[in-house]
Amino acid sequence: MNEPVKPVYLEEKLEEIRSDGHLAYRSKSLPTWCPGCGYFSVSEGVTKALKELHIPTKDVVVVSGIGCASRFPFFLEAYGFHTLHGRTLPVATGVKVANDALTVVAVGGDGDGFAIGGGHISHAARRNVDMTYILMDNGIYGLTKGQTSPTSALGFKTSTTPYENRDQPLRPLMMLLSYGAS
Amino acid sequence: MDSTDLQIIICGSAGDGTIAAGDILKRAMARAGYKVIAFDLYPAEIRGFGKCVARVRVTTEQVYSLKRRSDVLVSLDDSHAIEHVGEVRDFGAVIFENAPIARLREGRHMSAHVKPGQVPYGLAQREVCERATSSSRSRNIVVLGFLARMYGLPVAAFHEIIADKFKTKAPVVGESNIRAFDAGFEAATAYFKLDDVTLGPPSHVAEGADTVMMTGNGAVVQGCLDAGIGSFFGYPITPATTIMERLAVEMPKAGARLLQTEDEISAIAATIGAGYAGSRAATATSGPGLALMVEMLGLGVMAEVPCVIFVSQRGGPSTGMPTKTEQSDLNLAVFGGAGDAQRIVLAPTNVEGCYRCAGKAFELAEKFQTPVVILLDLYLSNRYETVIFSKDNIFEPNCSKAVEKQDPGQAYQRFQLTDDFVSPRAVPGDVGGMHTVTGLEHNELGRPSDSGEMHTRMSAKRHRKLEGALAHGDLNICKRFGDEGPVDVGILAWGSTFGESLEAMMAAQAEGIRCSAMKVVMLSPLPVDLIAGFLADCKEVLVPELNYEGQLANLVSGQLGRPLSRLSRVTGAPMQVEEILEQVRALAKGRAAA
Amino acid sequence: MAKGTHHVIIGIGIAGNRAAEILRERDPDCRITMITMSRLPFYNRYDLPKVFRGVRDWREILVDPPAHYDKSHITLRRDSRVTNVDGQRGTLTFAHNEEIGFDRVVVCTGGSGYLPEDLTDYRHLMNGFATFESAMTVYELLPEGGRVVMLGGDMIGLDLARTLLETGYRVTLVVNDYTFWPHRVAADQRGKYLEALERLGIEVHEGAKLERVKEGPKGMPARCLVFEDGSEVFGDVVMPFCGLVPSVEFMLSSGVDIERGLLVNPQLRTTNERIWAAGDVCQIWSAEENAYRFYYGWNNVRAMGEVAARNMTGEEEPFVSIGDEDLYVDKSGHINSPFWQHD
Repeated sequence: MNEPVKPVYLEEKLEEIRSDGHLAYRSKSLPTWCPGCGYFSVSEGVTKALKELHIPTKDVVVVSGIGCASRFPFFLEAYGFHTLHGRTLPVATGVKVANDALTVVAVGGDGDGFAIGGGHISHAARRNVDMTYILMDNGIYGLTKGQTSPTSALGFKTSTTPYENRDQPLRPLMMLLSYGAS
Repeated sequence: MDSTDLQIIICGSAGDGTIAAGDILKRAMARAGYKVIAFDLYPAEIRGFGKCVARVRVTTEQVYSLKRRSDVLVSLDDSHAIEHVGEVRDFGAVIFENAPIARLREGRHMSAHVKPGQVPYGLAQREVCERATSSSRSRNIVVLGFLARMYGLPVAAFHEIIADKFKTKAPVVGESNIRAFDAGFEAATAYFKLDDVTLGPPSHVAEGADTVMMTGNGAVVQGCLDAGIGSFFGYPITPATTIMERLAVEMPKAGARLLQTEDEISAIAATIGAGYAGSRAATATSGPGLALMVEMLGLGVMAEVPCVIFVSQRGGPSTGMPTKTEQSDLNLAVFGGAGDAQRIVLAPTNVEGCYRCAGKAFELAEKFQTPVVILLDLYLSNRYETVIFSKDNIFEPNCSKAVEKQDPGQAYQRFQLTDDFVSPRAVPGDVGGMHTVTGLEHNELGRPSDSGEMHTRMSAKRHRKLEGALAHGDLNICKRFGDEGPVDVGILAWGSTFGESLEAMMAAQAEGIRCSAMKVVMLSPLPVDLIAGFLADCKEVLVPELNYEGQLANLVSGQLGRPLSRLSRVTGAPMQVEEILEQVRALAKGRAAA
Repeated sequence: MAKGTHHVIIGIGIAGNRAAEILRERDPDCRITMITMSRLPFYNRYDLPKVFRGVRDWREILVDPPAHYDKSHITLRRDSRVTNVDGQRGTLTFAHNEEIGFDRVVVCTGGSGYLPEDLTDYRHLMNGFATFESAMTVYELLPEGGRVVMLGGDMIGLDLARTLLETGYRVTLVVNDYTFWPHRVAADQRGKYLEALERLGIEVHEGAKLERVKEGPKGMPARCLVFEDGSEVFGDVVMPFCGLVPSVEFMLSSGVDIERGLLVNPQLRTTNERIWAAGDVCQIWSAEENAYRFYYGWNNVRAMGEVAARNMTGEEEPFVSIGDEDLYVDKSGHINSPFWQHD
């Protein structure tokens, strides 16, 4: 026996979304991510969280590195700092030290975080800085059209590993737990 | 003669208290109102009986370097001091132990080496010390008492400084040392003064002003504190580490924050993050650290974020000579980084300048929204000088260009193009000022843009806004000394080498050469008009600097096209006044020496 | 001479300095070390009275500029006292605990002022005049027009007295056995010389023996001399000039013969073949007098230095004195002495 499905009307849904308030955290710029990219849902989650916590946009700083994730700050209506490859965490630390009333969100990908930025993760973790680090691990360098990253699978073939990736991928959760991230 | 210029060198073995004696001497003379410059040399090895040398120059007029010749040598250990006896001028004094315990082989005692023109004073240092204190440990204090009696040094100041130095120890220690000082003083009454070393009265110190003995690094710290530094991030590196160490103690007391980061890259990254968030932020490093930081510096320039970087130069390239002085990071400081990333670079020439430039750096960074690099060198970082602080704070607490009231619905333009090329700046926390800064080229809103026209306009903005720095208040970016108008030889110098250059200029003038010296403090933007005016007055120009490639000479001749005579020395030691003077003489005669 | 022979000269007075000159002339390659207790390079002690004529800076009385010692490759050790000379081993030891070797040594330490036994208790109330420092000390102690009381008045003292009178000070002479030393003038012969001194302006005090020296009472000159007959003489400074005693204490363990001074043959060599002596410190064998005797005066002392140096470098010349040794009163009634002559 089929259960009746409640119909979803586009106008009502849009009305619901608009009145929710989390769109206030979105800037006027349209995201440049590819359709279907996971970053869309991440950014949705971030805006909803900010809304539910009632944090004023003026008190939010989003810090990004280089990569697709780096565009994050541009799509949020908040203060943002698009920094250099791998240097998201120390810059975010600096922002928080300067003014700890700010809500600091650091975003980056797996290359940004574990390759060039690998040296900074352990220190941010052990300092336990009061910030949120959203590391979007898709196992590849996306913005530069697809090269192996530290979390790419063994045997992965890309333009820089045409004969298969020979290096063991990092295990992020185990690393971060050992660094004392909480 | 009222003007005083007395330089004492104390030389001994590690463990003799040479450095401590020099420390007491310089502090006592500063306390008594004299101007003092002092520099110590430590043994290269941590262990053992290496040589320690303390040099203290006491004057009534402002001077800019140590003299090559000292007036008095005090030997606490002849085996080390003998090699310095040539440093004492004729009719100066050499004080040594005349009753050593151990039997000496021929030539191992100072009496064989005192030059015929110098005056020898053999003193039974050990005996005098043992009679006064039951041990020979305070020989170094005994000789200070001897000096005080011979040259009329202010006894009260010495007693104060000695008591102060030992105040954390048991009272008997301070008392014993005062007795040692007094015993040395008493012993000197039996000596007839035969040298011509004299001490005049101190110069008048203004009401309410405070005279302090400081190193260059100490002055940087004080400048940061007085300018209201909010955040500091650093990584240990010789010779900049002491800046971080002193700030680590003082900043929390003032409610400011300091963090030692995991490397220089994170240090500058955090500094820029803090600067972005509106705090007066700084870091300190040396050449190798700056090399790591230049990528971030470029971000600071592109994103127009204020931050301050103190760089104390040492022997390079690469790891170089960490405990020796050099001035070879000019190129890196002025040009380092990808692209056209001009920033403000200042190089003070003495300790007071370190204080002033440090505080002004925050003003400039904030006003022109750019990284500011302050170049010191190891010699300046570790050299003691008396600095007179006025009771008023000379630094502006806020030099930011405020954002005017925005119309509702109008997006805030962080990189608005204005007449003076400086945009009004909002910082996180400001209502309605939300924006994102980026290392990508961008438009006025800060959105990434790679349009040729936008890049041209923004490049112009970032460069032209710095021209205002040339007119920043209360800061000598460039200053000429000596003869006015046309001169035979001009000396163009920067950093601590300017001190020796000024002394050489005065010596040349005394020899009848028309000579003038110019210090260049602002290296970027370079005050080309002022320098060009100076060069036009000079028949010959000498540029002495402690680097092999003649980096300032290259900078100036690249911008002004004038051929310059270069004097490059990379011995790891400060430039000698005599070396500069010799070149000046040769140029005055119409030929450049090889 | 063998290259690198080390000649050591102890004492840089007129004899020692002349010896150094001759040694350097005759042996350009030898090592020369000059040793003195003084802090200053060689100056002429006969010039010390100039302190009262306006010389305050010892640089003005130096005979050779400091550069001279470097140019002549002479090691000048000042503020150094020799405590022992070992003629056998060829080493000498300093009070500052350093030992050096030598090939040949010439002792030119001269003499120090003699103070008679009965006056040694008052040493601390009296001033000497042997060095630049002591001369300056006296100058600083004397008020304008002040009075010097001289005990004895040997020729050094009387020379100073002349200058003091010429520069506006006053001098009282207390006559004793040492007056006119080194001239030997019998008491009954003294009269005409003392008159000559009085003509100069010196107040001569003869007769009762000096009992003691004490500090003057408040408001009076600093010193007071009391005589056995109860008379008193006041002065600002008291200076003994009772002749010289040769400075030989450090030679006592050296093995050479010593009487009052170091005994030397006419070639000025001591009984040790490596040790010579010249100047006021030595007694030279005189065949005529069949005794060892002293020779004084600038000319003699300088000649001794020269002879010693020549003999240290191979010669065997005897010392010949200038001869004339008598005190006299010249045509204008002024006292004079061959011992006062100097360049």
